[in-house]
Amino acid sequence: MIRALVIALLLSILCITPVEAQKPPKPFRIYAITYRGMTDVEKGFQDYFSTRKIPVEITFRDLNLDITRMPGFLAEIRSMKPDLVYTWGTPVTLGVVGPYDKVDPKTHITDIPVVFTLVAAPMLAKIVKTRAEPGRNVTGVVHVAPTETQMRAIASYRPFKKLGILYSPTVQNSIVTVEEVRKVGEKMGFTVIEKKFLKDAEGKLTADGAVEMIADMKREGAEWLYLPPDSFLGTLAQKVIIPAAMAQNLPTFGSTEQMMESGALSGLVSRYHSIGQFTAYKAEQILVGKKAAASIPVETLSRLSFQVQLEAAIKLGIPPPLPMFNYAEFVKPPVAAE
Amino acid sequence: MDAKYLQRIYWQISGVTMLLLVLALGANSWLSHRTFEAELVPEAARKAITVASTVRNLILKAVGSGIEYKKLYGVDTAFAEVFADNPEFTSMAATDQTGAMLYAAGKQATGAESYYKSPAILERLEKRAVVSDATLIGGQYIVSLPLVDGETPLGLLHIGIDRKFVDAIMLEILLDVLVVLVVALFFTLELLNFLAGARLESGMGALADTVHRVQARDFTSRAGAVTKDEIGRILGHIDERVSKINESYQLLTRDLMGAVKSASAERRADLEKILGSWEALRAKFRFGSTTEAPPASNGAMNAIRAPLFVFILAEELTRSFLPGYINQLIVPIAGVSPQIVISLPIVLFMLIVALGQPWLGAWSEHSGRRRTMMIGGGFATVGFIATAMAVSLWDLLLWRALCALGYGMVFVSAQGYILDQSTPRDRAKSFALFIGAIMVATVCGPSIGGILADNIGFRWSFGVAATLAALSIFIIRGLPMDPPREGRRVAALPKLSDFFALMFNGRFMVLTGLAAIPAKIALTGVCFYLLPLYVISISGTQAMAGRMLMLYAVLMVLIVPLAASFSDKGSSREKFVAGGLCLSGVGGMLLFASTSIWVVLGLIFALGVGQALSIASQSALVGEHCHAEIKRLGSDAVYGTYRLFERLGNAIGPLVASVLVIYYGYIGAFVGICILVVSCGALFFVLTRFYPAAKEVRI
Repeated sequence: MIRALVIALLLSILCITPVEAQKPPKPFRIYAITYRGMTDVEKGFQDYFSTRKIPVEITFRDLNLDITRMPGFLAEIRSMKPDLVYTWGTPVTLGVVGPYDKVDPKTHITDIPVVFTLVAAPMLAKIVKTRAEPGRNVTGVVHVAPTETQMRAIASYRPFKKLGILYSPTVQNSIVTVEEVRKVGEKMGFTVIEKKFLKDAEGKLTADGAVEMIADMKREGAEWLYLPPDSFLGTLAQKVIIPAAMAQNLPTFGSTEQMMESGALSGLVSRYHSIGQFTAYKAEQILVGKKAAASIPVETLSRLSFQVQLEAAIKLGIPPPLPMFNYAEFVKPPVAAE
Repeated sequence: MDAKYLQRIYWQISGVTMLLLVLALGANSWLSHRTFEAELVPEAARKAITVASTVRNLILKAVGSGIEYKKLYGVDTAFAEVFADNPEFTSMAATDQTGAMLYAAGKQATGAESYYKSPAILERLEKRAVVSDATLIGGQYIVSLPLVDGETPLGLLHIGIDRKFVDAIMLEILLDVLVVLVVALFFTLELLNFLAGARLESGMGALADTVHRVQARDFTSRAGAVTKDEIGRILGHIDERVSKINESYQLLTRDLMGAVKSASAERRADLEKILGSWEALRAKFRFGSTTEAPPASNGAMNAIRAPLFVFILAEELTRSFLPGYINQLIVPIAGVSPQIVISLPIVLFMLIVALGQPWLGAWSEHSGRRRTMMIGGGFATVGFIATAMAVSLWDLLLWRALCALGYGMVFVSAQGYILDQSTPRDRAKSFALFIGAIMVATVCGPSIGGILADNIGFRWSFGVAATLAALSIFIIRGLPMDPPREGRRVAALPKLSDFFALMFNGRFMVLTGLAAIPAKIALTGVCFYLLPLYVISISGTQAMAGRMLMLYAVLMVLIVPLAASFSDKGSSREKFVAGGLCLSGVGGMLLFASTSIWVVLGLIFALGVGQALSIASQSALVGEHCHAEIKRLGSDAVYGTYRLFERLGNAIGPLVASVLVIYYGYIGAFVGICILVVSCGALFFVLTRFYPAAKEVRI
């Protein structure tokens, strides 16, 4: 009797297993919105899933710097009902989930988990209340190293007493970053020379006067120009800001890989590809691990790379300190495509 | 040929042997020290070359990426990083082709700059020679490396090794050699005693006895020596002569008796005269072979010393590194501080030895001393092997308990064995032998254990302890078989009622509570717990802890016999006890002045001298002060309870120390225990005035 039962059990296992194995796994559906086209982040995001053999079906949509296209995407999300929404950058993320104190369930997505990436300050932007526990159906990856870490990185290249910052006075994110730098300055013993982008007649930010402001900074004794994660600054970095600083013999320090790609002299950055992979890891915890986004912490990559444009550094007469040859990544100047 | 003469001969032989040994070891130490010195500097130089090569590669990488050699930045930072990782390097410098210093960090040796410019050094750049020889310049051994980028010579890179660092290592080695020397000395003494001394002494003893008997005109017994050495041969000759005398006597008796029987009456009168002389001869001398020579117990007594020594050595080996080992295996226990957790295995060990002894003693009487010792040795061997392979604190506790059980069994049975084998006349001498073996083990064990732990690690050191314990079983097997049970002395277990009666007895408790227990708390709390942990905490070595424990043991070996004879002669043992306790605590006060390792050494020195002074008088005072109690409860109960309390002090010591560490840190704990001991000593002095020894008791 018992033997018969055992045989029956074995047979049933044998029957079930092949059926389960044959079933093609249903891919997870992800709806991704980018801000200015595809970047290395999305590549890293996709690479992670393929190396982990997690089947995903990603629908990519691009905002192309035009926030007015957002409502269309939100409507599409509602009709498609994907398993997860991926958002690139602060404007896209806020457009999808809204600030936590002004959530409108009719407009914003609340019932589908959202994983953001390339957001410099998710708490300041009111995307999450705390990094450790987001508390809402949103989690993600911060791409900027903590401000103090960046300041210490600058000092390890060359100690300084005065740091110049040029930023957008209309963007809350940038205002708060400058505030943070000032606080770190008090602690580390340096002062901040801050210059704000001017507004044109229509009240929009303009590049006019930026070159002069950099020259003023140098005159006032700035030893470095810090490039914070500021979108407007990002659009001007390669063509206007960095060449102007180089002309003044003022070394620049970038906070993101985008700034480095624009030609900043040095920077402590997370690689976009790695950020994409880390974002995919957060998505995996939600999709495969069935964890609630609300309980997954918002994090920065722990491994950052110290990038230096060696040729420019030598040209400026500020070669990196000798120990840096052990760990720094020497990058080539950007190809002047435009 | 009296006993004193024999003893003198023995000590003369031992003395000459020891002198030769000290000379040989001294020469060996001196030679090995020189060899180390010759090896050490090149070894440090080779390391400097390796480290300098990484800095050189960094410089060449920077130069290779287009930075001019003379315009490098942050070279001093790179040098500083080298210093952080290698404290033995005190200066670094990079020069150009002419030897002029471009970059420098650390403290440059005086005369270094001109040395960098000397042609002999600059020649190395031309030859591109990487040689690892170091030159002593202004207190630093300087090693130089050429910097060449492809075909272009840039300059030279120099690293200075601090001579003081090399000297400190030399001192460490010297101390180790010294420790090995002392240990070898004691070990040889022990071995000498085991191999030659015991046999020589028993042989000489037999010879003396035989000569004494013959001198006393006693020809009844034979020495019956079985050894084939010189003494054996002499004894054989004496036996032969004695037999001949006996034969002559028997021949004479037979002839005389025959003559008397067959003699005529007138001849009988003549014979009466001869018979008279014969009777006179019989009265003067004793003939015959009825009684055998009395068995010499000395051999059996000496036989116990070797296995006991080896066994105790196994446990003593672990003293200097056990706390460090526990620290490594520690698991956090909620609500219990790690300091207390470290003390637990030591406390458990002491507690089992203390509480187990009365029962183990009875058990060994019941099932045989030799057998109990062998089982105990087996337990300890297994315990040590398992300790070596312990995975966490929990199983370590179990293995230490097994070791404690084994230790208790061997200790108690060896004590019992000596009691069984000795007569009241030579009991004191036999116990001196027993204590001697333990003392020598305490001298040799911790120091060698420390050196072992530093060099082969904790686990293998426990492996060595296990091997020693196993070896002791092998030697115990060689002991004479246990005698039949009827003949054994049976000591009564202390009764619980006696125990309580004594606990509330003022006289008894002044002795135990204010002298015996504090002394043991100081011993285990300071020596077995605080010292090993503190030495490691100030980045010392296990060997250093071992050396200090050795100092303690050597002081005990040297001072205890002296103090014992002094206190026996003098009338006030109380003063010895109180003074000893106070002295052993005074060392702690030195820590208020400084907390350096030398002050701790001073503390251990004072503790050793103080303990040695008081220890011999302590148990003697029990007999003096508690005469009434001994009369009422019996000496077994009083001494048994006294020993039990004393051993409980052993168990409390680490616990007290660990609690003090939590609140006041290591230094605070040293001071705390010392204050405790000093106040107990002072109180003891005062109270013994109130409970004076009954004078009439002293006989």
